[in-house]
Amino acid sequence: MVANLSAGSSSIDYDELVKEDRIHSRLYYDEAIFQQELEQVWYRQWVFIGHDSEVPNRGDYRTGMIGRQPIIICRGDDDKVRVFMNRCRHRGMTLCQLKKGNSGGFVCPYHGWTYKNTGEVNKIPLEETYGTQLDRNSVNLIEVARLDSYRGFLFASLSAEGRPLMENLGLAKDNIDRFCAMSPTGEITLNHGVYRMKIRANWKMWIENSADGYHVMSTHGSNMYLNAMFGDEQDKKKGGGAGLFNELTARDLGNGHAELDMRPMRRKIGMMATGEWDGKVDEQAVADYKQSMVDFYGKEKAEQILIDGPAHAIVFPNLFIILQELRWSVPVSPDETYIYYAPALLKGAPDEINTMRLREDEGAYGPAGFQLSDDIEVWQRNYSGLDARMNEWILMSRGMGNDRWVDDEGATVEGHLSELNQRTQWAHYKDVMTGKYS
Amino acid sequence: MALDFRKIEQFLFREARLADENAYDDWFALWDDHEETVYWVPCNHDDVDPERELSIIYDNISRLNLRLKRVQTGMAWTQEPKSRVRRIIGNIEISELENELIEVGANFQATEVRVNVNTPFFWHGRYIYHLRPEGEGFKIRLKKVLLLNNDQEMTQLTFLV
Repeated sequence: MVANLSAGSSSIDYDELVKEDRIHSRLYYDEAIFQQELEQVWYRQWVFIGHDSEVPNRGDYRTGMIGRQPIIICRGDDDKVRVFMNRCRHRGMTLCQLKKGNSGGFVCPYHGWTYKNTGEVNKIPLEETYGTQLDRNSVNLIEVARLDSYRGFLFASLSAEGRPLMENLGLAKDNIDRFCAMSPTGEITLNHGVYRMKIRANWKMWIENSADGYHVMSTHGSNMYLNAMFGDEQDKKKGGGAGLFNELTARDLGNGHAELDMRPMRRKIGMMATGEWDGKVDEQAVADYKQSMVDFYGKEKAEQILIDGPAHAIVFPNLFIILQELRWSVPVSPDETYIYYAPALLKGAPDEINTMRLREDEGAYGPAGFQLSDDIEVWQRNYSGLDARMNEWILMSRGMGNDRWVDDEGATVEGHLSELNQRTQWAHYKDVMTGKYS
Repeated sequence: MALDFRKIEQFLFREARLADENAYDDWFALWDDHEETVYWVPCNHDDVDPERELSIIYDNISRLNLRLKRVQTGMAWTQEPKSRVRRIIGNIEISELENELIEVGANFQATEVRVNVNTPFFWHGRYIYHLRPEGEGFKIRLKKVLLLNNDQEMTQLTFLV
């Protein structure tokens, strides 16, 4: 039975590889499956590509990738944000080499074709010698098939067909709202630097881990220790296995989106989201921040926002909204993934609060962060372990058969650090890969 | 003040060796217990504004202490077991700053070997130190690490760079 499923067999039967309580390792390492994922997931679904605050001014651009395809996100001279394939229409060179910048347009160094930052072809050297062979209206830069945004979050799809962005986001929209709600203007900015990580693991290991409450006590054992020894009162209440951390719930948001809901824990502790890492925050800045929140939202709502804190959810297939940061992934190969980690600052908040967010980010995340470095280590060891193939099943059954309920917003919820989130991701993955969801 | 190049060079070599050998307590003792002390690895480019932009590391003395405590818990998996590291320092340049501080620039190349990864990791860049003379030696007020690849996709960086 097992041998039929393993890599090398000609057929890929997703119903056999993805079971409700377990999934087969081949889903991570098989090159043929990876190629199908590019087509079914990365070139068909809505994929997160960035935030419009990364290109605030006319002419600003930022390069990126959708799956393996290079793109340029660019705000044109007409103030409209477009996403182009990073490819000259003549002979196919990448047009833009830099990570970001500002320009009136793009120049291909090969034969000197140029394009405006709105995508129209501008100069074609010796154009007259084409005679009737070239219609210049047919060689503008190619744009992604669909581009849409919500609160500045940019999503693109390379498929003209498919459900609208907001329908795909569904309940996950609320997580974007809660992330932005930490701002006293309701707006965030994302152009304050980014961690670019290269990880020797499959992209799906990252989305599993991102919605997983169960790993924290062990993977982040070193941090639990620091919190217990050197943390403030809030840190100590969160605790390890016996602490209020167990109050986190797994929320199935539908369409493969999943939340690790911190609110039950935060409401019990009465946490206030002003500065939760080990740095010291200017008391006056905290007071000013709270006041600016009250001014914008009103007292009751502002307090609820601060207690509930920012969101912690993963939007299938590649956006992770977590605390003060947005993260997104780019698949490279079955065994390599690039992940981008960018702190969002709160427009209108005191400078000290935003600087604090940067210090929080640096403490926890990035190549040297106290948490992320160990997350990456476990993903990499997770991938290496798949080489052992006597029994290739991976267990996702934690929480099955326990209490589950549907909350006021319509999400299915399980407690006790359930693996509901991973199961819902895989169930959706199967629907996407078999064409049931598009 | 006449700058004793040999003494400064020897201090850099000692600092590098203690970092290479994960000698956390001895390495931490080289740092200046001062509110302006910073261990800094900029991200994305060299001239980061730390008030508005992200760094890979921007530790004050308190967080640097926590960083070293963490890798000694036995649960910081990236450093279990510890990286094996050796680095070469060269092209050392020295100048005097105000407040009696000495600025030292030096290029470095470090080779890191990690558990279960057969291919070594190579790290390159330039160090900028601000050293405060104390007694016969120095205390580190600033160590800024300008990585050549700070705008590229990179792996974890959890040895003492």
